[in-house]
Amino acid sequence: MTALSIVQLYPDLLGVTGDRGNVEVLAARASLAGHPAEVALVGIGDADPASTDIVVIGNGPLSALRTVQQDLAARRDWLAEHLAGGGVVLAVGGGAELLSAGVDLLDGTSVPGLGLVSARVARTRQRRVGYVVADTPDGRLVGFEDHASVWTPEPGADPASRYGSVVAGNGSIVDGYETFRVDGLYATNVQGPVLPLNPQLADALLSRAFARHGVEYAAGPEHDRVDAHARAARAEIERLATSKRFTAIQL
Amino acid sequence: MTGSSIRYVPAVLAGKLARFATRLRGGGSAFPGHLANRMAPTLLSTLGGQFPYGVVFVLGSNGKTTTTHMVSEILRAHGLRVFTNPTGANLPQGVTSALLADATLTGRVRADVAVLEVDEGFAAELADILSPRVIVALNVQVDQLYRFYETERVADMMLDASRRADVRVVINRDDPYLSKIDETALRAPVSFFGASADVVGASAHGLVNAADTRSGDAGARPRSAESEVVSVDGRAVEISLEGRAFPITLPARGLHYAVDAAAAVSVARHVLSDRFRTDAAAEGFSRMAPAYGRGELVPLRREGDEQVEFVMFKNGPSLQLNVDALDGPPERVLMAIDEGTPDVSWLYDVDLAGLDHVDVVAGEKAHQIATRLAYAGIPIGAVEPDMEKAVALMRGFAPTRTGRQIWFVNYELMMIGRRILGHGDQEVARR
Ligand SMILES: [Zn+2]
Repeated sequence: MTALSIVQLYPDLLGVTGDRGNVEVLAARASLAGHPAEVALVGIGDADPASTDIVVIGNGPLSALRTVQQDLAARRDWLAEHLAGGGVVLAVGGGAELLSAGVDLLDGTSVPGLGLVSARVARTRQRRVGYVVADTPDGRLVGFEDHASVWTPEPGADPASRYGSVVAGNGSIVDGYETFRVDGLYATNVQGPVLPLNPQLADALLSRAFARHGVEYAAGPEHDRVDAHARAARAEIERLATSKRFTAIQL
Repeated sequence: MTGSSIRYVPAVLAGKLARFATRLRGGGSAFPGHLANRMAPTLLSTLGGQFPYGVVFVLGSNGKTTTTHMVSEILRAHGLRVFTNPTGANLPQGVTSALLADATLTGRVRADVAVLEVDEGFAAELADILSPRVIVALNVQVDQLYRFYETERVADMMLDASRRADVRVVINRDDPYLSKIDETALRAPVSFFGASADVVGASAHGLVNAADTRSGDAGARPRSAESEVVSVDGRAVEISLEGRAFPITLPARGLHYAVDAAAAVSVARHVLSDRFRTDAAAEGFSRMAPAYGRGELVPLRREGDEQVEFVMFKNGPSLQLNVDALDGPPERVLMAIDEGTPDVSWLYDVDLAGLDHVDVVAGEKAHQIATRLAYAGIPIGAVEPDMEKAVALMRGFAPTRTGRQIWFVNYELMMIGRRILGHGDQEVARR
């Protein structure tokens, strides 16, 4: 029995899209596999947690990104060591943007990023809203996208860091890709939240997190009871993603 | 009664005819307003300018319909004739269409006051046309991000509109964004409403207003309330107005309704000025039937007296407040969401521990709801995306001991559910 340690950063400021759902799914799947999970909530000014297996950073508005930016920048070494040691980071939406090389805003200014992902984010006038489906090495990634941003890899970035190839919807990376994966770091614009709708991704994160403890994580029949619903939800989303267009939701 | 004139006859007539035609087709109600506004661009401001007690705007992420209803009933209990827009007709064309329906051919509306729920996105624009005397801003909650993008933008829309009130701005002092309103930028003084710390503390998840992510102070700024909820016991509530408490009975349970009531009392107080009486306000509340889809009861079957309590939600905060207001886990529950609610990520922000099971989940999002319930460990009876079949399942259950099922539904499925139950036609009037 190995206890899994999950940290959610800035749950109050970065958590507008059900981001605690991703934390809940990781904890629930670990415990269904027989491993207890501990969740620590870390806010501005709190000390870096000592031992961590998975760090989750959620989505929030630009003002929240500005509010947490300095505090997060001060945790860069901690995050880098965590990743180098085989740890996992899942970052969604605005939280993911803060891990890029920087976010260029429409007014010409920018918000600095931690540079953990070799890509820059440009905020766009056009908002991308609707279902998104992408093919990944772990299977189909499905969910809801709702963002006004495009990620562009920096020169020399590893092309393989683009995790998903978009099948339906827009995606947030230029040339039809969605989600970056660099070692154990996943930066995505897929909501829903992403993990309940994508058990294959949740299990990929958990396998890596447990591997550093020498534990082989495997989903079982208990997981399948939940995933039966997720499979049906995924099928419905795949169906709607190709038939339904949200392109112009206007005021 | 100034402003009404023969020159509006063609526009009003065209609007009325268009309204009649669209109703025959069973279509939407915005077109007649659009037509009339095009034919006589000053018509709307003229229609709005003739109410002796002025125009009231009700703004907020949650509770607009309920509060509009409450203000209207309090004012009626004081003897005023009230004009109000029907539920959901809160965009400029909808407001115009509603006014046209009540207007005489020369552009007169026979009412003393207009109480309007207004969409945040159009509040400032409509305020410039209708010159509201009182504007109330209820709350800013994480809502429809796909539409408004950022919650603070919604706050700014309400604060911007508030600058246009002539007589009074009524603000939720427990709301992090709204409580920080800049009083020096306003034309009218501000009155705050809220709930006492004890009352908020007794609610499982408080008021679920959005955290302020931009000022460095996530919570609300301390303000003293003119109108405050000081006790809540089911539907029995005490409101303290300017330091004097009086009892009222709410149309439905829930802290959010109590807070809406405190807001409504403050609004009515400033519309009526010295004519306001607490006993008449209480009488107004006692007359209120639950608003459409907010604790309203509809018969489940043609025979028997079992009823469906419709509990409508449109986002995480409204579902949370409704679950928190439950009087114990409901015996029979339906939960249904369709594509009218495009993104349901927020389902994971809602603590559903107030439910010990859900009998049927329905709508196009049924499997997403089921996934969420499964992770929360809440047993599910059946997953049935088709609402007709889901209703048949709910009708097939043995009668409940309480004589009541609870259906948690988004707006679209509330309409569909009501139609399937044979009560789809009671939409238009708010009374
Ligand atoms: Zn299912």
